[in-house]
Amino acid sequence: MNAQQNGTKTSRPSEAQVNKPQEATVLDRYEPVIGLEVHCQLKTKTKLFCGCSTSFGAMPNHNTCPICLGHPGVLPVLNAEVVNFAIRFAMAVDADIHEISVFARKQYFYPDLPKGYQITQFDLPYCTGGKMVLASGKAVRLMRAHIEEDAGKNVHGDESSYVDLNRAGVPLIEIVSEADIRNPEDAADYLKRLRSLVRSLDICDGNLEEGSFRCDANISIRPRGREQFGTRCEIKNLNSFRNIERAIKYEILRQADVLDQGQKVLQQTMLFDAASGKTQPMRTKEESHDYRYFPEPDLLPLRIDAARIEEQRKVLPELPEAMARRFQEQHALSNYDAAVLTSDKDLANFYEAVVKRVAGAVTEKIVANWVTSEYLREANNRSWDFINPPITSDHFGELMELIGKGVISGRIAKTLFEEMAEKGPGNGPNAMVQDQGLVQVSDTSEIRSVIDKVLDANPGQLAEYLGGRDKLFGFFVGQTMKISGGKMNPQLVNDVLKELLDARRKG
Amino acid sequence: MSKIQVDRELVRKVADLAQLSLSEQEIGLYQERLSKVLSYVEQLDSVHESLGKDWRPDTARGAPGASTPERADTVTGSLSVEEAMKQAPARIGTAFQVPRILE
Amino acid sequence: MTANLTVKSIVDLVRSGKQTPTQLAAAYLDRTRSIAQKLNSHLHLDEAAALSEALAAEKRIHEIGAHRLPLAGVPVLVKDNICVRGSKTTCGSKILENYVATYDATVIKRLREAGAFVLGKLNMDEFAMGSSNENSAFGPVRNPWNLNYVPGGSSGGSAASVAARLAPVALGSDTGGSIRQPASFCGIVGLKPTYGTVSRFGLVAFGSSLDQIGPLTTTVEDAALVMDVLAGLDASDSTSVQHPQSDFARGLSENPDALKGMTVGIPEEFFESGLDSEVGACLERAIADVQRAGAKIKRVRLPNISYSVAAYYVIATAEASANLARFDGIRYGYRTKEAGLGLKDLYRKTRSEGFGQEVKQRIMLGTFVLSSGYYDAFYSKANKVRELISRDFDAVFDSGVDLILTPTSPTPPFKLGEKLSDPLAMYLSDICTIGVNLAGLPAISVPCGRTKAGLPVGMQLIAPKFNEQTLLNGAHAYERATEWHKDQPAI
Repeated sequence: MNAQQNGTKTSRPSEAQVNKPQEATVLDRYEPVIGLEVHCQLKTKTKLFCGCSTSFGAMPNHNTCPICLGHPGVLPVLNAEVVNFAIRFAMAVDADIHEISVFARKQYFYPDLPKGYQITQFDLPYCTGGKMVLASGKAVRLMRAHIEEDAGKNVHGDESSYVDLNRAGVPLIEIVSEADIRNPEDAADYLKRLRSLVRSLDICDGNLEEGSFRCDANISIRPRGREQFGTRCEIKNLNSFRNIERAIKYEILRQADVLDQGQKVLQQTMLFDAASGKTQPMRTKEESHDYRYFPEPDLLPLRIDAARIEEQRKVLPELPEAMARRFQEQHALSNYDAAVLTSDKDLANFYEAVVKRVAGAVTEKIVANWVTSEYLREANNRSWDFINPPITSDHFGELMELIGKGVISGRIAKTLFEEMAEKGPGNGPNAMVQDQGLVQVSDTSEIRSVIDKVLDANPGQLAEYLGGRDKLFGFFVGQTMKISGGKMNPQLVNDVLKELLDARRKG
Repeated sequence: MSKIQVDRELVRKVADLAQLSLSEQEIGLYQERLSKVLSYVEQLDSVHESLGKDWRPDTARGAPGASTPERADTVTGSLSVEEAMKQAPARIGTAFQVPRILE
Repeated sequence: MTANLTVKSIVDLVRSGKQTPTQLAAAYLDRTRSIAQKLNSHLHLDEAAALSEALAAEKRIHEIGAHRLPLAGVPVLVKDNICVRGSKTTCGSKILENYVATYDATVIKRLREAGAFVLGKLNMDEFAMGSSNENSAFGPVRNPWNLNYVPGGSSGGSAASVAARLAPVALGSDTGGSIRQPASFCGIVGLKPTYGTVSRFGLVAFGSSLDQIGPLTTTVEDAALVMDVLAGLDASDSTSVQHPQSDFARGLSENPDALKGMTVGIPEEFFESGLDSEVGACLERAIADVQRAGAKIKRVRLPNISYSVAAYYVIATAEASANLARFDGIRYGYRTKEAGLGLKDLYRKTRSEGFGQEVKQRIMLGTFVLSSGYYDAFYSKANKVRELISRDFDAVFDSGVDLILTPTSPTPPFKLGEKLSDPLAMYLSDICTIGVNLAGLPAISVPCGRTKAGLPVGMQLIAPKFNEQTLLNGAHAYERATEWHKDQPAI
């Protein structure tokens, strides 16, 4: 893989001419048309058609049995939980769940496909339609979603490739959007929302790096004003939201460049190379795929009745949109804060746990500010997992309480939080505040004596202030806080300083 | 359905899809044999079927109203990795070995 | 001793303590040693394994009691496309020459639970594709009645072995007649159950929507006894169903003259041109015997049956082309010895060297009928014709017919090599049996005569879906009225 990525520095002439400055003019002239296909690995305990574990990270071929190895004579039996998960997804996007759907065999030869065919759904998927609403307010229509089995993994060495079938047979739902998306930002937003949705539904862990949430993008461009779609290319290998946006942007420019040169876009499958930021055609000869689909004779049609749908409706968790609305009302948050906090169900749970812990000692808005800024920043930098973060909701709540009760200042709290993030929370913020003597000074006589010293030590500035330079007020606050090591209650420092300066002005 | 001409090109194309390599002589043999069978099979064309538009072979399978059976999502265990691997014609560690795949 | 044993008599002997499974195994192995080689009926005769299987059966009988085990001590031979864990399962193919099954087929588990044991694995047409057993990578099986003749196929090893009394019962599989036609060619009883009655889990698939496992025995009663054990819902096979009837053997004994009052349909299509005159004569006599046994004979029509071979070769090969895609030389099985190949060439060489000619031909036919542009004309159309054929059978049964009677094969056994060059002639020899698989019906072949050359001729009875009891009762009543099943080849 690495050799491949490093070895492709020389680009074709047309690629060399693709450069950023063109972007604005390209988008003036061409309209991108984007459709997305997402494969979500479902979080079931076992595979789609056999009782092997789906646990990630096992040694190669340790989670395999005659069925998922495609030994002679084996037969598939459908995992009920997969159907339940699929139903929940369909309900969440308001899709039509079909009373009858059919599994089919999609045939091709590849070492990671043990049977020589993939069991999937073809002309009768279990659901069609539905939509996802984006931040921009735009609704992206879904074409369909269907249940299918995953392939294994091929690992490429220098001379050989190696086949690991642990993933072979893991259940997927493939979610196909209509070509309703018109810019890379909306594409990324669609995917983020879809990921957030499947995580809220608790049917997929949405991990792009580990491949449990995988995206292929179909992209074409057409001159603005034209109705007819252009020739599309499919980009594979998109394993982060950032790369998805980069790849789509690059591909749009590449296709525009081809058209601008009077050439035709070839329908082909492209791979995105994150190192170079470029898309390039897959090296395998593009064969005209003839998958020879036919109904899977080893399974009967799948029938989903109304009773089963109702059963699943009862266990449907709160979905991101509804949760965001509730956060705005219940926690008196802004649209923005609510959206950020509910973008991930585990983050939302964390926030609500903190709010519960502080029990009004500090406002929900302040907790939201802290979670969306300080906490998220550290979490992102340090790749925390929101389910089991190193700083628990209890410790974080404790920190919020210290602020709310005026025990420490916001500044101290930030320092303390950074320290907790860096070194771990130890015995918690309360203990840290005690041990390090960080308790905020709220004793006005102590504050008064420090300020007196500050004013006496800076006669020049004092004279200027008294002469009318009001801006120097901040200078005295700063000096006072510096001497106190930031432990003085800033509101009290303000009040006392004002009082003392006024006294000197009069005196 | 117009009569299918089974020429050497068609035999090659089908062998290609089925991942079979045929000698020139075999191509001739299968061309002849497949021609014979296909021209016989083409009599299906003359069957007047009156099943109606709604009838589909894929949804008609099984007893009326039957849905494919489902199993509980319970781990029932895998083969030992040794048993999974021991019949592999070529392996490296616990992975199956194939010639390097170009992507 | 073994020459006159049946499943029934063995169970009686074991229950009365006169024979043990190991004694029976030893006796059958003795007989097999001299005969199997002449017939080329066996692919794997592992005597140590057979004896250890017999010992396990003995232990089970000791623990549970022979009276509670319906097949106590019964040795069973198994067609080599049914998985027995730890044993080779080659399907008569070079591509699986050294494949050792990693699990037991459901039927094997059920047989062992019932007190039976596996005696060995039998030769067959490669991947069950053939009607003469000449397509085995391990050489043809010969007919015990005349070694120059084919035993039928694809369960040729099963039919030849049971006819030669190398076991009282063998398992076969039937996709288009592969149990019934060889049973007919070898003068024994062969039952293809209703689709879904016997689990296919562990049967290496040929045409998944057509395949069924069934018994080959020397008597109808034995077929009923074995079916009582084989039939049943299996959670590992999504197409398996709970059979509404049970205890076929008891049903048989309660109704020994079942043909009395039955209406037996004779489809004219099977008695028109193309029927061998000697077979025709045997069948005319059989019909008379059936009538004498008290049945009413009714001439019926199956208007679309003449399309069955065409529909079958589309559907069966389409399914087979996918079912056989897993044999790629990566996880198990044969891999080309040629070194330094790229992936594509590895696939191609492996599959071209591993599969025989008939299998490759069917894979290509199946690949073609599913390929882009031809699917509707072939695969969709064939499935519609399949439905029409199925409705033709329904209409006959709805008109008051209890059983349909036909020849099992339009010809008696033919000589080795006689039909190899003409694929169509070989395919057409399945004309009487194929419709039954397309419609998913149960059918049985019972011996009904011999040609002048002394070769067996079989008669097929067909019943409505899930009516194995009527089928077995009718066949049993016919058997009681005739002597053909008592003939044994002089091998």
